[in-house]
Amino acid sequence: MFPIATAQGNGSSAIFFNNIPQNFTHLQIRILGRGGTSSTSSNLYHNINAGGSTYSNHQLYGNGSSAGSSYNTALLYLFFGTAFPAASSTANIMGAFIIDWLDYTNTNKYKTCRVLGGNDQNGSGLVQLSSGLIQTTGAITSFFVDTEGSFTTTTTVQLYGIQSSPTTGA
Amino acid sequence: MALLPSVAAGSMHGAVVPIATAIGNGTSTSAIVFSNIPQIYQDLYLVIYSLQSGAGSLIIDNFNLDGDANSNRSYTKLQGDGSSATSGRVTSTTTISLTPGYSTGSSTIPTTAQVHILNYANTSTYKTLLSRVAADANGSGTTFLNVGMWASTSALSAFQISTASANYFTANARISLYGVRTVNQ
Repeated sequence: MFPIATAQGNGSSAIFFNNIPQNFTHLQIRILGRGGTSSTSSNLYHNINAGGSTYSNHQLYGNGSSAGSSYNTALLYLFFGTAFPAASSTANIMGAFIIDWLDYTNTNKYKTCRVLGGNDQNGSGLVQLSSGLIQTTGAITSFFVDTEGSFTTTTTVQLYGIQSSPTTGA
Repeated sequence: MALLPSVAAGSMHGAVVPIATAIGNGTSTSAIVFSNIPQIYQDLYLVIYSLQSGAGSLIIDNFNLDGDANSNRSYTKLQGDGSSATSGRVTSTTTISLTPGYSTGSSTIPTTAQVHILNYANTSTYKTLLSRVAADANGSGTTFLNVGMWASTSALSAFQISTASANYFTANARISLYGVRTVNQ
């Protein structure tokens, strides 16, 4: 795994990563985030290649009292609900997300990701294991992540590339 | 318990850098402490292969060696036990459980865990950890997700992984701590 780029929230716009190197096998996005909206939670929006391809996702989640599952179809972005604390949450609490895009440069198949994420606010919050699908065969060359009210300046997003073994190909 | 020395980031390639590994001693070690954690990485990544002398929880606690004097931890959990999925939450507590406890913990059946602690050296935000745990015992067991929060803006420089119920880690238990570099680290 190799670091590609890092970014911070600025409180006013989405976080973009462009010109993603095409020499890795997989991508991993690691987000520690908080939303700026006047609420106790905000959602994660994730778009690839600035495209309007058909996005869909499934979530398995626990909200502290029950476990549930849900899905979304025909979206213009991937949507993961109750992802981050927001402006009405206790100060300094953050949510964490790790997104893995597999075989992101392959142009023969649709792109899929797995997601582990959650936030705990000492009395509220949610943990989730999710999947995402984009029905495009194009290589992933850029993406953005966003949330309601934009990410705070305490938000950090790291992008990593994961190589195959040059020896075994594994 | 054997603690292997940390490795300087500059001599390594890639983002995931080994910091230390601890191995149970099979007789008395019920808590493995990682202290003097280097503050030069973006995230911490913990890989646990746990075998313990009896059934019971696997927990992360003693942040910055505070002796669990502060009830400023909380966590939200999601688990599947082979027949149903449930969720729960623990608030204002001293420890964060990485497992359901009652159904895991064995000297022969391993419990494995991966724990991510993001931006651990930051002094402006509370610390959030994500963990993913598996323990299958051929007819029982669990898969377990957890998001935990340590309500402190202090940089995380130490913590411990403990067994509950006075168990100890067997000699085949192995816990490895890694640093995850970002660019310019």
